[in-house]
Amino acid sequence: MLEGFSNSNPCDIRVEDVTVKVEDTIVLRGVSFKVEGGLTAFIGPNGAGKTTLLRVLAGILDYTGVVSLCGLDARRARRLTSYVPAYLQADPYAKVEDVLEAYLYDVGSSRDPLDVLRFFGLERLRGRRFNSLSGGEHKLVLIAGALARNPRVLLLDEPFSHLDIANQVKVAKLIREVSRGTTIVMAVHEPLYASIADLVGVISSGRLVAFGRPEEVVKRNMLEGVYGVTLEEVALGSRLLVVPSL
Amino acid sequence: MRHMLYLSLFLILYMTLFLLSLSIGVYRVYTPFEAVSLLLWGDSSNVDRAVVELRLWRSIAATMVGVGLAVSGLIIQRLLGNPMADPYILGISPGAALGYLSALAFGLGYPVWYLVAFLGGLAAYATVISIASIAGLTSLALIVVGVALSYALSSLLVIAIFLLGPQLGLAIVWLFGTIAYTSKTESTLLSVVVLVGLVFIAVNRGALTALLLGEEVSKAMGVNVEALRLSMTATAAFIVSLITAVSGPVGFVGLTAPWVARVTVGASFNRLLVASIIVGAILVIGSDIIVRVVGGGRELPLTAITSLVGAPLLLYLSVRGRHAGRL
Repeated sequence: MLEGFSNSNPCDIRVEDVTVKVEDTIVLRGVSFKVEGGLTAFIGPNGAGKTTLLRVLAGILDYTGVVSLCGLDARRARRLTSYVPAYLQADPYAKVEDVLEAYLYDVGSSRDPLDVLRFFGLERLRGRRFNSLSGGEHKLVLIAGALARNPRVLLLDEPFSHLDIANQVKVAKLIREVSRGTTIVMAVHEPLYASIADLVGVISSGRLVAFGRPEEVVKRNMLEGVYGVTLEEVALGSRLLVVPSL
Repeated sequence: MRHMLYLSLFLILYMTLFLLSLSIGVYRVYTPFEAVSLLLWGDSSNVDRAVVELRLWRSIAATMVGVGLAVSGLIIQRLLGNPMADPYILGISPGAALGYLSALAFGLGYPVWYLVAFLGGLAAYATVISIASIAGLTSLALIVVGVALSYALSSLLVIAIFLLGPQLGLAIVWLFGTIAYTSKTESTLLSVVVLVGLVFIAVNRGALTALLLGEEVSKAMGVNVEALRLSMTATAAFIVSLITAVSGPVGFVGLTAPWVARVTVGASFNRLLVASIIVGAILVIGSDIIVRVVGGGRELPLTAITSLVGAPLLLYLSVRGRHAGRL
């Protein structure tokens, strides 16, 4: 279904003892893990270091330790990866096609922004100003642009934020589909989304405190320890009520 | 489709203005047909032909000043991610002016003062880049350092003008910007530098396209943002320093032309580049015609007119943009 927009050779990611320091503050401390394709989700509270980890993988942040994507150092692997930030403020006059064109800057004329819109069923957004899109459309355009580069590794920061339930399902399905042929790493702050991943890492105060399959990792006492609230408190006013398996 | 329409309209407007620029002047007004005939078939000893030829070089200079400032403004806005940036944010204008005045103060004549002005502009840029590099050459650092240095240099400029006062005489005309006395050699030099700069910018258009997504995403896609920032600001500094040395500071074009381009053709870099080139040329050649017409036998300072034309245009565009919920 995703021919041309999804790779069929996902690659390994190896992270060993990675530490990131930003102005004397250690924001990531001794993180190590390994994934071989598939979908990996990192969860944890705001400010735990999830986005920092994604930026390290994207090759745009200095670190100590070893980061290898598809056998290459993170900086060298940049052309093999696509990074989707949690939010992107573009030029107020930028159209949706302009944003896609920018994602395709080194792919040349081999791929047309309009084809990308058509493929993802977003033709109605043609000619719209990017900054005027709804949260869901904004997200879908960014993910479409990132996938149009045909990356071997896709890095998604908060792919579900600002989305309504229907768009959450849509994005979740798309991510699952793409993850069959492309290695995906995503950062999400809600543990709910961890259930769609093959592997889940929990980051708390810059440390990777748990890493494994969702059913091994996403447990009551771990979540209560990391987020500092009881599940009953969360469930009181939250849609987590609909996730009895927790 | 709409973009092509705008670009065609801009091109027609530019060509019309170019013909008018050959025809109109303080000495005498010709019909565009007369002007072109004089150029093509006129006797070289004919005064009228000489007048039109002077206007030709002047029109070429106006075009190159406009193109150079517009594309420099465009790439600096793109590199800094700030639509309010203009090429003079790099301290080039007061740097070049200080160079020019120092040359006068030391009794250096034409054409050495141009060279010193050019070097003054480049020196100011080099200072801005060096200081901003300490802070990691981020766009914020470049803007803050550029603004601070521009104010400091402008103060020195005021002191220099105050001290030199009576000695300045006609030299003051340069400080207000003028291309009235641009020679064939100067116009040719301007054309070569601006065109080479354009080629260099065109070669980097892919990376400049990616920058629409901001520094982080561009870097993540393999763009070397720091190297691009350094090479492209250096290109802009080279072009703008030369323009400023030849014509004096010409304000507002570097800010206004890319704005007009964005509003009409959107944010795609390739289209912006083409539109900025034509709009920049229109703004300066149009202003240079106004300079000759409204002074009543005297030519007005060019920068006063480019700003008087540019400011209302920018105001109109921003108000229009706000109504459409774009800003």
